[in-house]
Amino acid sequence: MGLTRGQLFEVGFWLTFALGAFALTYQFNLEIEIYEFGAYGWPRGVILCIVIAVLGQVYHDVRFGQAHRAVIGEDEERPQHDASYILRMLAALGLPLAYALLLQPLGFYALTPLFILAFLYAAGERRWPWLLGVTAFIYGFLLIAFARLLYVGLPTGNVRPFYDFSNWLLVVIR
Amino acid sequence: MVVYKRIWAGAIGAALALGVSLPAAGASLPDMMEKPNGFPERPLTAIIPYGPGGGSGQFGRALAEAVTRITDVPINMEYKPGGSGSVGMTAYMATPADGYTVLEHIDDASSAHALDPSKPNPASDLIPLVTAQITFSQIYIRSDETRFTDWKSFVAYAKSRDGKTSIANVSKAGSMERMNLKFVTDHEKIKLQQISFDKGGPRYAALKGGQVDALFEQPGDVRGFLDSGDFKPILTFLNERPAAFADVPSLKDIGLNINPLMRFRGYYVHKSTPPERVKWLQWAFQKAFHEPGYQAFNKKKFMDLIDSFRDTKGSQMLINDTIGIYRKVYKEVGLTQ
Amino acid sequence: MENFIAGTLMLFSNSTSVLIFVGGLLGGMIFGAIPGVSMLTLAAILLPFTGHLSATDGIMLFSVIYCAGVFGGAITAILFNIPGAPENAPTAFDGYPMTQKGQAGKAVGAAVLCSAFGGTCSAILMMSATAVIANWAISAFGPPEVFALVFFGLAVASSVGAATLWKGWLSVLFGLMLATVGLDPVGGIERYDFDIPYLLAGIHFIPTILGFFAVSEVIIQMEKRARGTYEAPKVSLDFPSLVEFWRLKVAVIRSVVIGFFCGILPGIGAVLAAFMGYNEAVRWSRDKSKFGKGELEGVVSSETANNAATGAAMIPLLALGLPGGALTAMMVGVFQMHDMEPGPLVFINSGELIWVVFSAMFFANLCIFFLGWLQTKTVVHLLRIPFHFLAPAILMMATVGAYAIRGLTVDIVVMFIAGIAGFLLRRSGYSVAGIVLGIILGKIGEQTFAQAMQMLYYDPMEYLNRPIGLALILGGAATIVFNIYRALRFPAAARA
Repeated sequence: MGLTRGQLFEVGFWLTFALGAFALTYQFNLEIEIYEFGAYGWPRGVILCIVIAVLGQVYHDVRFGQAHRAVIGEDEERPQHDASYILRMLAALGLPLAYALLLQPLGFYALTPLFILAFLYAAGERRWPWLLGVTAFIYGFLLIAFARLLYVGLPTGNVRPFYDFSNWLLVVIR
Repeated sequence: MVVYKRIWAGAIGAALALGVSLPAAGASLPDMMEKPNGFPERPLTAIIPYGPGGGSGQFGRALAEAVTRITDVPINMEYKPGGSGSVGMTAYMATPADGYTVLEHIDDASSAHALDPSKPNPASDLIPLVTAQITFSQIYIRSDETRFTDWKSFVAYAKSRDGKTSIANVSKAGSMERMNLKFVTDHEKIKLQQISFDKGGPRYAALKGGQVDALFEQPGDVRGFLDSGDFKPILTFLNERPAAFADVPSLKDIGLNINPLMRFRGYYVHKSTPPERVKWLQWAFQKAFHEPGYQAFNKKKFMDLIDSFRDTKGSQMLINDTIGIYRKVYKEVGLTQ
Repeated sequence: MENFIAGTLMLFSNSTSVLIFVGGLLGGMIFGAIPGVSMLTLAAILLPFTGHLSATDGIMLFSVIYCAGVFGGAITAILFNIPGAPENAPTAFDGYPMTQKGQAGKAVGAAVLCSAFGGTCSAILMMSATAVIANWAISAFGPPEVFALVFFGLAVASSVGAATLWKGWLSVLFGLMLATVGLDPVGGIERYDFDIPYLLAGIHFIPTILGFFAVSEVIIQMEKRARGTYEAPKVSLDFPSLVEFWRLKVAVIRSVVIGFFCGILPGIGAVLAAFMGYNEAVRWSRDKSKFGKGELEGVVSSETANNAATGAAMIPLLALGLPGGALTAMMVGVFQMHDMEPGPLVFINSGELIWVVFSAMFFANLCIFFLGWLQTKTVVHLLRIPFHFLAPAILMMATVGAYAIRGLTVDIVVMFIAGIAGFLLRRSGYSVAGIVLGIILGKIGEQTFAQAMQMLYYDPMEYLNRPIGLALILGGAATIVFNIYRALRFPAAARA
């Protein structure tokens, strides 16, 4: 029995990963005067083990076939993906990532209410009182719990006017 | 080894000689200084590029608390450990240069710049506000060790074992610790197997538990083991013996004519910070060094054995000299071109 | 015994200490039970403040947070599939399916009882054994032994929670690779940093566990909503009956033993304990197929083991200065804030500190038993909040939790990337818990391997002079060979 497309993709992924990671070890194959295996010995050993484990999985898939796959994942059949599904999944995956990348320049305090609002909207909430109310509740809770009570130094941002806004807000709530 | 002697004798000698004349300048600072245009009107933030528990974290907090005691300005500590201090440095360089965020850093920033000139030079890309801890290294053995009891017998033992003598050290090639040890082993023509530990606790446990034969460290970090009598120093990386370790040989005593690399810690601010704010910060952080609570802290850390204070100019000279030496040494050992 | 009484008296005679005890207990239980943050978040936030407490109060606070938080982390693992700490990960294997089946109350109730029982047993064992073990362990456990232990732990626990043995290994190995990002542990050489300076700090396991569990769970639920297949879990408050517990007595006792022995081992204690506790429950069971689908025994075996490890994990910490997990690692920080190094010296110089900590842990576990029932009754109602309201709150808490550890925004980016990766990996039979195990053990493993090689002068035969290390290496190797043999012969065995 051959491999399914999904299984082929997984094998391809792991082999590409192993090859790429191995190629990159040549960026740091410097001598360490006090250690024979250098900085590259351990990663190369792990990469070798990955290749062995992939071969084992291929053997398993070929010999025992499909019977024991998908134990943990969802086993429902593939649903059709309409435009709204794709949009919402893009939002669920993209919004947090955008938020994380913008945190350093724009800061936690200015960005967070916008993110919560956008996320709730993407999750399908359309009632404005709920949108604003839940946003205000979560944001308020975060400010009181972490900024005021526990004094956690969350990112203030590096770019004006966001930096100034964060510092103004911190002075107000503390 | 001859090479090192030539480089070292000239370069650091100047730096250390300089330190002796400077502390008076700090003591004569005014008791109060007016805030320039109200600066600072909100708490400062101190970025510490190490974890809160280690030597740098403790130092950063102790000096910041002294600043607060003098000025009533609170300082929020932000610990950003990683990459031997380079991560905190990168994070600091991205903050606005308004004087509200200051950076604590150690001599690692100087050696990092010597190794890779694209990394900031703490003397010229930043303004050193103060250097408030300068200390030296030592080699320690267990007090109940019988195979050797002092430096001389340790060297003899190491020679007889042909490389099979171990010493616990830090885990960064080209670091102050590794370079200092290299000078000594080259000079004595011994081979030691260095065991690398990136954290202090396991490093000390290794000596205490008999896993290694010796340990390279600064006295303030192992004070507990020294006071309890578990460890004893057998070599001091200074040219003169400090009074607290009068019976431990110095480099000069073993015939090594260099000036050793030192560990130093201080506070910095962005170069483009408004000058009147820099002036106030310089006053506050230098004054804090002389504050009694901070002095007590330094004493507890063995930081009073040699002069630990440099003002901005003194820090710049210390850093520049240090960078110069690291550059030459790195070239010699092939770490840089 | 008189030491214990003295410690108890010291603990409860001082109003500050009592306040800190109660605060730590409630804080640990609350932070443990809020999805997105955990006891580790609370500990990281509080660490700098402990400088203002006495050393005894500071350590006591952290040990109480530890006991309460390991229990609290089980609640989120069961209710939301979001383990509060890596040691709670195996609890979710069966706990979350129970919630989906409407048995949340039963699962959490079992976790309360088992946590309290395991923790109390461990506290008692710890009190009677620490001094003895401390003296022995410092000379017996050097880097070569710790490496052997990591090897053994990986060999045994690597297949837990994955669809096949091979996928379990791939998960752990992927974690080991992630652990190599940053500076290497011998020369400080930059690896896999892609010229991003922040990556030099390495991949921390806290953001990855938050991403793999909390963020990916949110994405999975969002996907269900987008598809229209989302179903709110049913809230139930029926606790397990005594009869049900009595049937599981063997599992409980087995997990106490496993938990305690794994916990003692420096470096990896509690996480390994939970994985092995769960693994053994599956292995000894007559019907292996019921695990992973909402089996009470799965929750019981993992939760008993990780709490049994809490007291035990204090032994290498206090005796050797070697932390057994993330929270004990932060305790090292608390010690250092007070100019102390945890280790044999603490026993000699600060005996009373040790006994205050011991008695605090003992009473914390007793309190969990009573407060836990109360908390269960309130916390399961979190399930009544519509998930799309809860989701942004979870993400925000996770953001704070990831950032509070090191103050680096890169950790938040790593967390969200791990969330997306976890979303994809979990549906293909890989074990995200295994990846986290790999990240945690990878750092220790590589460093102790290098140290062992340096200390043994690159001669593996030197292990012959170190019987403990040798036994662990041989045990690990035998486990691997046996597992491979089974995986190649029998398809059912390939499924861990």
